[in-house]
Amino acid sequence: MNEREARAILFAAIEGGHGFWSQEIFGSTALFVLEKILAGGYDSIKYASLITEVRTLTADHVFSSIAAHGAEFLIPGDLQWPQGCEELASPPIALIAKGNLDSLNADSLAIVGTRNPTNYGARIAGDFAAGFVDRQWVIVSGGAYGIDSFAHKGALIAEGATVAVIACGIDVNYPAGNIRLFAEICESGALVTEVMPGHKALPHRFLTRNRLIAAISNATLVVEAAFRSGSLRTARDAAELMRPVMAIPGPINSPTSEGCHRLIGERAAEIVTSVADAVEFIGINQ
Amino acid sequence: MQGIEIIAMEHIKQVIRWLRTGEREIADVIDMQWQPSDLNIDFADVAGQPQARLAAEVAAIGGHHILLIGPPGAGKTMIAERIPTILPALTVSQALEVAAVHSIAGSFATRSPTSLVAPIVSPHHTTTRVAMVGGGAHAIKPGACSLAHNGVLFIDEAPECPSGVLDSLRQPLEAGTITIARSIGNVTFPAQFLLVLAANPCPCGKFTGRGHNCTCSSQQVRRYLGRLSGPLMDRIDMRVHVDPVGRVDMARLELGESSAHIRERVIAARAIAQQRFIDHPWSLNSQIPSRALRSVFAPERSAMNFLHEELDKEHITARGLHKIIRVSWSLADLHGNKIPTLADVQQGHALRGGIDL
Repeated sequence: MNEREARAILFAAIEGGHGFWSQEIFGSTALFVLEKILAGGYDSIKYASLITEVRTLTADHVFSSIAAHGAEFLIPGDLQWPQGCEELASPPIALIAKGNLDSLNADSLAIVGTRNPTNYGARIAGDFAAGFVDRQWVIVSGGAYGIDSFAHKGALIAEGATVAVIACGIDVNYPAGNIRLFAEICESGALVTEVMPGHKALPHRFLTRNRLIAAISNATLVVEAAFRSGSLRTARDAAELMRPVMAIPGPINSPTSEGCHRLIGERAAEIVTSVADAVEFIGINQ
Repeated sequence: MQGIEIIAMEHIKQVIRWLRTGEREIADVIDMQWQPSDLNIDFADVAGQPQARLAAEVAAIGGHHILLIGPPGAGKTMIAERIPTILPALTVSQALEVAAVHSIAGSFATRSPTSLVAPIVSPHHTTTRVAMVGGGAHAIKPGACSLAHNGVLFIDEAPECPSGVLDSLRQPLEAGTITIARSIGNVTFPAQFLLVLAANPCPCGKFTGRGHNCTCSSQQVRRYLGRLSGPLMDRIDMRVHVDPVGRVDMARLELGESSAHIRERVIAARAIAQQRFIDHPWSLNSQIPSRALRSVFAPERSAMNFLHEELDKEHITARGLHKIIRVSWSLADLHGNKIPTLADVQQGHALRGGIDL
């Protein structure tokens, strides 16, 4: 067994964003950790289910189920592995990606925000995506309706590449209404996920997915976010990685701008009002 | 039917006497007139809300269907209820149609048969399909959409309606009539109405201002207005957000513009439209067919360029483009422009709610 196969087995058995296992693997090698698991080197009661799963999985099975959906399996060291991921406190053990994988290592801007944007936010998301695409940047976002979709569409209309980091299996297409968008994204950009094919988009996976959006991109822009919003988590993740975080202001009586105003108020994000502003801010802080 | 004279008698004896001798005690000749005294409500009562007021005025001019979105207490219902006060008087034949429908439904308790004021009907959101479009097992009665014929059909809390109920409005919206088939026969009622829908921004209604009190998840918020989407939303021309009443609006002592003022402008604008459509089978801006919007009734060049740019960016759909032009014709009539200018079209675009989400 080689490192790649060991990673595949551990990737399939361990849920993404698991701090302990992530550090164990990145502290040594996947091969070492896998052998240690099989040799009973970890608590056999606490990790009982993991141990049995690792025993039953085979690397070939993992590879074939990924290849069945036209996707590729990426591990650190691969040419197309997004370098930025390794700066995370709990880096992904591996990634599954589909499409133009070169887009994963290009200069990129994450555009995140609410699922229920106003027209203002929808327009701004699209315009900023197009503006950055014009400057040869790649756009990174989630796969949800709302700001995510408008950012991808803006990038595609400007004939650029865009990356969607999704919280479900590469074959699941959640939400179903974005199935065509996902297909279009794969033509120039890529679809990326940290979970095995067939896995559903569970709530906790959105949170672990958010850290990947922050890590793959060079900077993060929050367009519209409510008071409680997953996008704020992405912004915080990006700040932890010392990446530039920006937010678009809105009307102070708009609930969908409250999260942005909170970030700006806490000095957690730079206020930007134009694409040129954003480009300049990233240039200084990179 | 013109010049119809209605003589009110209190007792059958009086009728017999009148028929025999031609004398009558009470010379109470009722002339069919638009009587503002019918209505104790006036647009002057609505505080602030310039955007929603404009939308209501434009809806009255062109017969454009409208959706008002806003938190409870912002004044959605107030605005909707006041739309009949700014609509032109019904013609006598329209009034008779309305009277006929109301007579079948037995609803004269709420409406005088001689009124020329456009009716407003506001069925509750728990209403059934039969109550909405008409029906009944023994005698087929007209539903809310026919009672609102030549007037306003106002549905508050529209997303709370069972979806089938709202969808049943599609035929009358399309045809202006509703045909009800039962074992005892088929009946067609007229149903040409101005549809006004109102909705809270989310299930709890508090997703407004800073949104701190809202307890809904983002998915709930999204799904709530999503219940309205589809073919019905395709027929809505304007989507207007109604903000909660602000401190200044509340403190303002002078009243808003009165219904009488607005109504004068509506009548003038409708007269311009009617003149323009004199050789065409339609009379309202909302009824201009799509192909005419690109040829005879296209807005000015720069406005068309603006719309095509929006279409290219996929901010609007082709259907949305047509709706914006229709609304912009009403705005042009209001502003006294011969054809819609870029400003009219941009305003129409804003009233449409900008992007077709």
